[in-house]
Amino acid sequence: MSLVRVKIDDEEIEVPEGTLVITAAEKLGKSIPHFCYHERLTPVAACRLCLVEIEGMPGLQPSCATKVKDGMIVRTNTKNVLDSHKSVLDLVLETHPLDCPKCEATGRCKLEDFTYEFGPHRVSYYRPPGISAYDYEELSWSPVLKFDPNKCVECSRCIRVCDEVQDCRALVASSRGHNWRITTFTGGPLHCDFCGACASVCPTGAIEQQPGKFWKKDWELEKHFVICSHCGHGCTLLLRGWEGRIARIEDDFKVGINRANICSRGRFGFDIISHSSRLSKPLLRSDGKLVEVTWEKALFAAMEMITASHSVIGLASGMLSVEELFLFSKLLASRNGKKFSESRDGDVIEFEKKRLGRYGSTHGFDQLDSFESIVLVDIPVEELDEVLRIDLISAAKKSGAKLFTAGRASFRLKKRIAGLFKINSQTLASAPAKTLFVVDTERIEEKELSAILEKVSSDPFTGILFVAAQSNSRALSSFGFRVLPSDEISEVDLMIAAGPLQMTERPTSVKRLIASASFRNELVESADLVFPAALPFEKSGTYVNSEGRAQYSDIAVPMAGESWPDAVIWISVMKELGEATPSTPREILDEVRNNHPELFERNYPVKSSEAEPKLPSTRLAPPKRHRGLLLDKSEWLRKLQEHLDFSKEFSPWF
Amino acid sequence: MNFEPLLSKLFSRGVTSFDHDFPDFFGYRYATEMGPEKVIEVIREAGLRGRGGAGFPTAVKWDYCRKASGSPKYLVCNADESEPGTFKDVQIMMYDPHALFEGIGIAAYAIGARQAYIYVRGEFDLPARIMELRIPKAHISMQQVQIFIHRGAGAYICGEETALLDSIEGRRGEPRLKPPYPAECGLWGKPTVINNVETLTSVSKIFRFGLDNWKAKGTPKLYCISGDIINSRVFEAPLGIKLRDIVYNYGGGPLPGRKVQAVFPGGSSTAPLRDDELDIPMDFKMPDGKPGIIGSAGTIVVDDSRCMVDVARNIMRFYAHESCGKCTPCRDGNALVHDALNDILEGRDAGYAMEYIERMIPRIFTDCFCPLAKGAMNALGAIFTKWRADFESHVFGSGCGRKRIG
Ligand SMILES: Cc1cc2nc3c(=O)[nH]c(=O)nc-3n(C[C@H](O)[C@H](O)[C@H](O)COP(=O)(O)O)c2cc1C
Ligand code: SF4
Ligand code: SF4
Ligand code: SF4
Ligand code: FES
Repeated sequence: MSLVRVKIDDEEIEVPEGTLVITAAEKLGKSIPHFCYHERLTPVAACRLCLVEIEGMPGLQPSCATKVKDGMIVRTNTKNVLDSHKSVLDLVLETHPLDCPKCEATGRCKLEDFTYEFGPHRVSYYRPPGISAYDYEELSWSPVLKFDPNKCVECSRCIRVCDEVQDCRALVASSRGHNWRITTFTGGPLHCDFCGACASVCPTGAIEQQPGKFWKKDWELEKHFVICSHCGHGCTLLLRGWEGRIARIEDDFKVGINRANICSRGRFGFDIISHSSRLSKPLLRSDGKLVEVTWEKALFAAMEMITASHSVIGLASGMLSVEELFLFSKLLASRNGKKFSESRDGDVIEFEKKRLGRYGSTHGFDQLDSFESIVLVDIPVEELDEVLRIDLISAAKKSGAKLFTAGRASFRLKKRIAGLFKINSQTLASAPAKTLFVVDTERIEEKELSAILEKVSSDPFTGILFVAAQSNSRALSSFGFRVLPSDEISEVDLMIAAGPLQMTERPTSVKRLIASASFRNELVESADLVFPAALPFEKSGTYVNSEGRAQYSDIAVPMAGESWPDAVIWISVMKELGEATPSTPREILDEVRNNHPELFERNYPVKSSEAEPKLPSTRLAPPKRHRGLLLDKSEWLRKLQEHLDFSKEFSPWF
Repeated sequence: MNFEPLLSKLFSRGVTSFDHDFPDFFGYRYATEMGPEKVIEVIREAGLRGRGGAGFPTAVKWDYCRKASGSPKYLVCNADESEPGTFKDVQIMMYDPHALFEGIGIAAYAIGARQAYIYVRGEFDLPARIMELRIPKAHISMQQVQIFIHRGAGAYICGEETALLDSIEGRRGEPRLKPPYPAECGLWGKPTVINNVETLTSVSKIFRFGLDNWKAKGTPKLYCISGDIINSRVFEAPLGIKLRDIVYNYGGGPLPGRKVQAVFPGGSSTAPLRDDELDIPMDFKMPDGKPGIIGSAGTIVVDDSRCMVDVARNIMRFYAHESCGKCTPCRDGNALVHDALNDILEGRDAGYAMEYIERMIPRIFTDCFCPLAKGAMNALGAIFTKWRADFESHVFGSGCGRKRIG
């Protein structure tokens, strides 16, 4: 792309053609106030806050909607421009309640920032006596979103993100002029997925998340980037919390593969971490009842149970990290235990090795827009991967990719589907170049895929993207965990269950059950020994997503109660059994890499350096325990000491 | 006046009596025999400029759309006549709809469109019904074009061409960001020409009665005159007649015993003139090359019985109510300026209100998104400077004591 030179306030800069003036100014470190402009949305130039002078153009021009031209001379600091900023802010402030002391957005509010920077610093606006423009009631749109019309600056970002990005159109503008107002499509409560994108783009506190209300001011919250483990997409979440509590999940456009898209599970599902049914201590069955025991006792009991069992099987969850699954499979291997998983995802690694001769999807989520057509091979996209649905919509809308479906049409994508694609060798032969096949890993055994694979391997422009339902289906497959057969498991002495599982009851053919779990549920109730397990965000680990991209997630909050990451649990059990095991994160990761290079093989060409997931380097925060689960401070310190002693014993994990 | 009218020839007839007047659409046939380039050439030669207010040369617009890539193309007739003081298009729709249809047919032919929309203002119920009844007949004679009537919901901003397109598409009527212009990316993202009712009717007349006839009559134009005047009406006259002529000859002058105080030459969005400023032509350009005052040719006369602050408030009430709400200066500014004018009239903190208005007029004018607020500030700014004494009598004294509307 050719570069053009522009001059902004006597400073020259070279930017690619087509750059917006506001972006060029930003590159020079100049701040131009803006409300309606957002990097993810198409410019509408509605708020009129970003007006600048451009030589050769009449009046003032919106910098958010004007593209740079070679030799353009822009002025952002003339009296006319500054007056215009002030005047627009003035008008907004006039109808604004100014209840910053009791507003959740304070500290990250654009109106606050721009008024601070550009004025008016005196209350100069015209507020006729007796007329109060800010007496609308705050509305609870949904359990997770609320709307305060008084704080709305009418920028329409929320409407646009819901329409353009989410393809949902749950929000609309109603009425006109001074009464212009955001409202839900139905006028009543929101009818949507509650993705929270509208709250995320709102420049003020008008749309806010309900959880986390009045907990902490924005500047008191820490920032941690973590990888979401709810599905196979591997979104980067920006976790905002303090003292080990999570206030909310935000998105960052520049970090991660999800381009600031987060589904409602990722955005609002964080409160499971402090759920009241979390386990805080190991539980051991004695006299038919589960009683709390110390870790030493629990580990000893585990050793006894395992050594006493002749037949062992393991059941692993696809939500555990690569390291954890590796250690768990190591433990099972040492006891000749069969490895099972609950995942619906097929054995994708094996499949790729045999049929494709390579590992990972051929293309990444960030490359969807390089395809002319995308065929959804009988896949319920939004059920498996909501953010992929958003990516598909963006590919269809922005770069004109045509979406076809072979088999089930995904309900939320129906509007965008251009037609049906019947898969057989003929249609494939005549399929346009640059076609991507999106395949549900559950269905990789089906025979029509052979034809697709042939096409993919013969045509470098054809791609295949495997979509897994779980965050680490690839690791499960790589370590040899097979889908648990639906018919009864044959008689076994011991089953070891690791991670969050859907199974609700111990199978009758299983004599004993050891489980690592985070919550008290039916499976836990039927177990003989339960280890309290840490949840994602509380532990670090690697996750290999649907594409085959390995991403590292760091610790963001301390672990609840006395729980430990599954990695620590299985290392401890192995030590108790006298097995050799790697014990530092580095050692574990090295061993996984050496034995299972297929998990780390794919290196997606990332389009710009900005899209590369940037994760914070390991942060070894002092382990803190959840506030809610603490008794008092001395107790907390004692536990802290215990915690440190315990971890030093075998792992410098912290 | 020995001026044989072209545009308003049928206005004096009854609504139902003209069905057989247009058996042939021969203007359309004549045009389609010429070829589209030639049609545009004729319109260029006729010097036809848009009658909707902006006065953009029609031939240029058509030519641009014709050459634009993208298909299908659309023609849209702007029948959302809602500028206060303008009521000429409604007459055409009521009494001479076939001429409009013929103009639509010719324009559609010239730009290469097969579909045309007539966007009728929501309040124009009768005209819309009349046209709906007449369209089948037009379709028989002009098989190349299909005409649809789209009825608005009554918003001034939907007369703005891009807001109008949004409204047809079923969205909120809010002006779009330009560029791209409609001639390139208009209705449903396709090249579109938007023309006023009178513009298209003039096209029909040019082809029916000949270019020479059209020129000989000095490019006929419809004018509306209303307000404090003896003879409120629509009349036809050559383009460029003097404003004084309109007020005193065609309008019959002010009511007995009254004097003309202010004249809004081309609708409420144009800057009002004092009685001594009326000797200027109603045209798209002033003799000195400055932009003309014709606007939508809806002249409104205000006589000396009225308080000009009240007139200003009334105008601002209209613009505050009709603002679409998209941009901040117009959405919030118009309403606040209206409140400030109210305060001056009620004697509440009037000095500050004056200051506020003075500060806001240029700001709203430069910062707003579309011409709606610019028009409002045009009118308000002129009243504010020219009738400053009226304002001051309210600020420093007990007011002018003259008639108020409300
Ligand atoms: C706020 C606003 C209101 C308008 N209202 C009308 C209208 O009611 N009727 C009309 O013909 N043009 C109206 N226009 C002008 C149109 O935008 C457009 O210029 C015109 O329809 C073009 O047709 P013409 O070239 O035939 O004049 C309005 C413009 C603005 C900015
Ligand atoms: S939560 Fe998401 S889908 Fe719902 S209104 Fe907001 S942006 Fe739209
Ligand atoms: S609610 Fe927020 S995002 Fe939506 S228009 Fe208002 S200020 Fe903008
Ligand atoms: S000036 Fe702004 S608010 Fe007013 S009508 Fe135009 S776009 Fe809408
Ligand atoms: S940010 Fe440019 S007009 Fe709103």
